[in-house]
Amino acid sequence: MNHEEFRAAYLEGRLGSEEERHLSGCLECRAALPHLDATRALLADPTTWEEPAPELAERVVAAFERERPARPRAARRWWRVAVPAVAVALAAVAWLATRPPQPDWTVDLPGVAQAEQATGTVRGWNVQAGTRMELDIDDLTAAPPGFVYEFWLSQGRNHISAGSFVEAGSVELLAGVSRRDFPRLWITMEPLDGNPAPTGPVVFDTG
Amino acid sequence: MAANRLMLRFRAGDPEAVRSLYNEFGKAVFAVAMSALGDRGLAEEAVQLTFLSAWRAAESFDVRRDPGPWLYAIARRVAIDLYRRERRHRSVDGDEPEMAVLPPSIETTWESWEVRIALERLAPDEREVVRATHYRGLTHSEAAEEIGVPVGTIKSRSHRAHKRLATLLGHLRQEASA
Repeated sequence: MNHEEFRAAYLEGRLGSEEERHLSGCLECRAALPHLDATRALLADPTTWEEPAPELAERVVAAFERERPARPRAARRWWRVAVPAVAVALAAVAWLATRPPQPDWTVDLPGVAQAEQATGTVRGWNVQAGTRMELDIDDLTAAPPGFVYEFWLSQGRNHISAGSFVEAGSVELLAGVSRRDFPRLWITMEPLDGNPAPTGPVVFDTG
Repeated sequence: MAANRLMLRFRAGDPEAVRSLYNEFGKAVFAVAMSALGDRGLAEEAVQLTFLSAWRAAESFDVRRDPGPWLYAIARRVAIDLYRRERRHRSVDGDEPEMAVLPPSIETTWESWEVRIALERLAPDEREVVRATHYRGLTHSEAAEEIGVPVGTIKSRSHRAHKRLATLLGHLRQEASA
């Protein structure tokens, strides 16, 4: 009996003499027991089997459709296409009509330590839900596998994550707090370890 | 690694790609939200916010990567934000730092995600047997009677299902011990 056969039997709740013999002689499978027990607990947990209402799928798509007109990604490509002058003017009017309002604040983010060469700018809008931000980052190396860059708003030792990204470019962020209450803006490189606190090296910081 | 076509279409704003991504990960996102929030209404709100947040962040997502861990990270953060929002609405004591406020079961949301993803990858008849025996606590004979198939069929479906689950979830133990 190999490890996988034992674990399958244990998950199924089927422990016969063969499984007992394997367990008594296998340190690796004995070490796996707490996690197998946790998996069995999750399989028995009603929460695991709860399913969203069938209509949630359409609500997700509808919410996306409402959001999408505010961010006409295709419209940005108009500027890189050669078109007749009239079409350019019409495109400019359409862009002016649909672009987001001017930000309430703009901050340059200086790169620090491992990212001294990187530059960043963040623009913020005070919205009902908190603060919406657009972050532009240049010359930042991509986060390695298992890591992300995470954006924080902080007041003292209170930290709110506004989102994460993995490479330079433009990123949209949303925080449920105002910058007035959480003035420090900073970015760290975080491992995907389930820890919600900022623990990784700092790459950008307004101080 | 080849670019994930679904993620390319999702990033480009294709509504059908949103639907496809939801079909693949929606139940797992819901499982994370339910695990953290314990309320169906809040969990469904979390699902909507997760997919919206994912689309807003999609331009910076490396389409060569598996979107699962990325979506999980977003779902987890959305659940934490909603949990804190609900606590703020109910709290009369504003002195507790935001960072200290986490859903009690937040540490197990990764396992909830992985188990739900693994269950979705089972064949429907295998998933049905796992649900009957684990969640409802039926014996093989009771499950056979309820589902309307011979007990031998239930046993072979159960063996297959658990072998597949052991394979799909084997990395959880390795991650925990790393």
